[in-house]
Amino acid sequence: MLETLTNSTMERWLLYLLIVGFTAAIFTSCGKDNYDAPSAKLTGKVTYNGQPVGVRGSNQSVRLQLWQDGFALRTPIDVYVTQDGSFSSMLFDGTYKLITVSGTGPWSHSSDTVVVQVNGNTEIGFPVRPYFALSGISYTLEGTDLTATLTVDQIDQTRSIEDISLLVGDTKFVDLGHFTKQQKATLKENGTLTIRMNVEEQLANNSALFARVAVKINGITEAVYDSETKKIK
Amino acid sequence: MNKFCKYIFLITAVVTAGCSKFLERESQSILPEEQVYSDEKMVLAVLANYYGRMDWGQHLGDPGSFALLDEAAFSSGGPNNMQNYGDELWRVYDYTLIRNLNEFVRGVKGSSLSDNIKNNYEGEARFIRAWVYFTMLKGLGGIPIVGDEVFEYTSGMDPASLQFPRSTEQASYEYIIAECDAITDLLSADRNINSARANKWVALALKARAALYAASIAKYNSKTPDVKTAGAEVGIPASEAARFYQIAYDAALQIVNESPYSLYNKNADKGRNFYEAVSSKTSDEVIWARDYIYPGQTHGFTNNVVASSVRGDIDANIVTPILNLVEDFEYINDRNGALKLTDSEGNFIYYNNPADVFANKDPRLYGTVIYSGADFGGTAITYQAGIRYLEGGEWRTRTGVPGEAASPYGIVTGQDGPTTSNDQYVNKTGFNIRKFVDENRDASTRGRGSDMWFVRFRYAEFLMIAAEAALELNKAQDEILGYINRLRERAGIQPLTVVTLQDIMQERRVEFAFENHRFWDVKRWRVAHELWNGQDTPTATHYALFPYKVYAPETEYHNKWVFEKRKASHTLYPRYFRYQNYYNFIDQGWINSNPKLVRNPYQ
Repeated sequence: MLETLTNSTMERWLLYLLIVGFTAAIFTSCGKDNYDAPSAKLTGKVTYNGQPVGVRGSNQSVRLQLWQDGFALRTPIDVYVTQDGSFSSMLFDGTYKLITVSGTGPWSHSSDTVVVQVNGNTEIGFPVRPYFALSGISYTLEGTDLTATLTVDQIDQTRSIEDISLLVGDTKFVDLGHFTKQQKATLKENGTLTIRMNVEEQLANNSALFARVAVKINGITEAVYDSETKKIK
Repeated sequence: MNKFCKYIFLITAVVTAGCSKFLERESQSILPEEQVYSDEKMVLAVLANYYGRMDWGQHLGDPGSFALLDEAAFSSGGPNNMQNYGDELWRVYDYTLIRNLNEFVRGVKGSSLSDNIKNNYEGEARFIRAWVYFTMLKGLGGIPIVGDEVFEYTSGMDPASLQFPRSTEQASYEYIIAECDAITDLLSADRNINSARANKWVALALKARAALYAASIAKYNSKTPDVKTAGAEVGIPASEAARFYQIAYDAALQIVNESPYSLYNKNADKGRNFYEAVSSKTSDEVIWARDYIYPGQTHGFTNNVVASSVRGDIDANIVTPILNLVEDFEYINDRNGALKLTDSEGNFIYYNNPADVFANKDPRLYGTVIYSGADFGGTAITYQAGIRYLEGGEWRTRTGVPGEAASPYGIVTGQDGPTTSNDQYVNKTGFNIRKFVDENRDASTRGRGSDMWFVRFRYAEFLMIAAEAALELNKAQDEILGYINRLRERAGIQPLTVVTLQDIMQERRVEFAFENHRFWDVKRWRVAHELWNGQDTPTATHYALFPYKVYAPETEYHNKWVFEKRKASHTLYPRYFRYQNYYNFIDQGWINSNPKLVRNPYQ
């Protein structure tokens, strides 16, 4: 009888000790190894002459970099650009430098840096010099024939056009990696041109259809796109 | 009391005596350096460890690595949604191994072994070191070259003296070539068991290959003018091309003319002959291989890629060849290797037997790929995707799960597929790999594994390097034809009458399929971004071949076969090689610990 009593008292004592110990461990560790998450949101748009530049948004293809001075180790923060030319990044307040990365966007690399002062949520415009600018883009669907008209202006003389194409896809994310049909223009010149494509099969098979034009540039992986996709069905 | 003192004295004596002996005994499990380097068997064991630490790029321990290019595709389970090549693909940065090798060289030099043996070990270790540098260089461009010193860090010293900047890409290649030169005289010129160890010819082989890579980068990096760094860590001036081609040419010819290796040509059956040349350890063509041995050193390649009907375990078809590769094999008398599937009006061509569509293909196809109607280890393998039958005057197809039969057709879908389902271990492309696949059925079990070797250098490569270097050096066509036609004659196909770089690319593609050449070849020629442009083009898209058996009694087509070329269902995206894939990215962690490292282009 006495023995049982002693045992159960001891067990209870051990249990209390465990509870107190664990609670203490949980609360102390919480305070020590957690840092505040970055809370300031930097948003912006890649622009040329105030107009957004359309790019490939999928695949983390198009990228800018943020650098911050004053620390021992310099690690860039990659900022990915979405297909309408916008980008965003969660940061700590501070002074950053935003730059282009050579070859990872349809614009010429500039050694000029844009200094960004992040103080709470911040919005900026990031002007670039694309190799080509698109304007006057329109899409018309007559029956099953899709026609796109666009004007291509060469901005930077260092690169030429690889091809100009009209793409359709079944989601609003359309680019040279994601499309269901492509029609390349016969011309590879500046100026206004028209591309026609029969989309009968695509109209029949998809519940929605989106169109977009792209100008692929020689010598780099990227292309300039319409900054918006147009819903045609 | 006196007695008690005696006891204390006695116990103290025992304890202290025991203590001194216990603490001073030698470890039974740790060998100090001077013990290792005093015994040749132990030196060999240390060296063997280094040979086992070099499985990089495409290799048999990683069957998936063969599905990333345009040779094969993932077949088992659901579709593969790889969209582009990673910035770290096949990236190697192994300075731990470099340090270990430097320790080994220091240890061997200070050992009591005879000079002859010392030299050979030193040569082998320095060869492995050159191979490690070469592997890093292929992926990263110029790399830090740290020499022979074994560095020590003591607390408080300035780490800057341990931080080496990247050498230029050219200087890195020069270093490898110079190392190969320095060790050819240290190394034995004899063959060794299963060609598992480095000898003089292996060092020469690395020299030839490294010089060829450097030469073609120098010549063709003008095609990718942005793939360069300001300090030439990436990029070699075009003026260096001829000199590097000459080095490659001389080294390759030395192997071709003087080495104890030759083109394997012992089996009159040309297809079998090619299989044996690469995938049999009796081959006298192989100069250096990653050797395996059962029991102990085995891999799961056979287990993973074997065809369903000859498997020894549940696994099969993880990676299967694609039609692109099959069609790149020429016909014996026709350089266009495209299979004749439809006539000029687009109607199917009917074949009596499944193998008839492959009649007169380059016999190397048999040695590389299992196609419908071919055998594996004595078992005939027939791929059948479904039945094609007439209903109401219209052709229809019916498919099932592998092995399914239905009246009145008989077998609907063959045991070996292909299908478009998401089932595991089921073929999706209509072919299986034969090269490096063990015909011993036990080798395809999980428990045992296969001890098939993986060939790194073989005689045929040096004929091809001689031909390519000779072509780039504008030597006479007759000479170039002499090298490449020896290979084509051994293969059993018509000789060429004129050679262009395109022919060299074509020949290397089929001769060295699955041998870890393709990726590095298309990179050094700077054609990878054109071949694998991420678009729906014939070279970037994976294709499969679906054979159908015809069920149409009372017609002339009954029981014949038709073949459908279709996009591989389980490769969702075309292969997409971006300019930034020409060189791996430098890891941020490496830069943090060595700020002298320069970033690669696009990074």
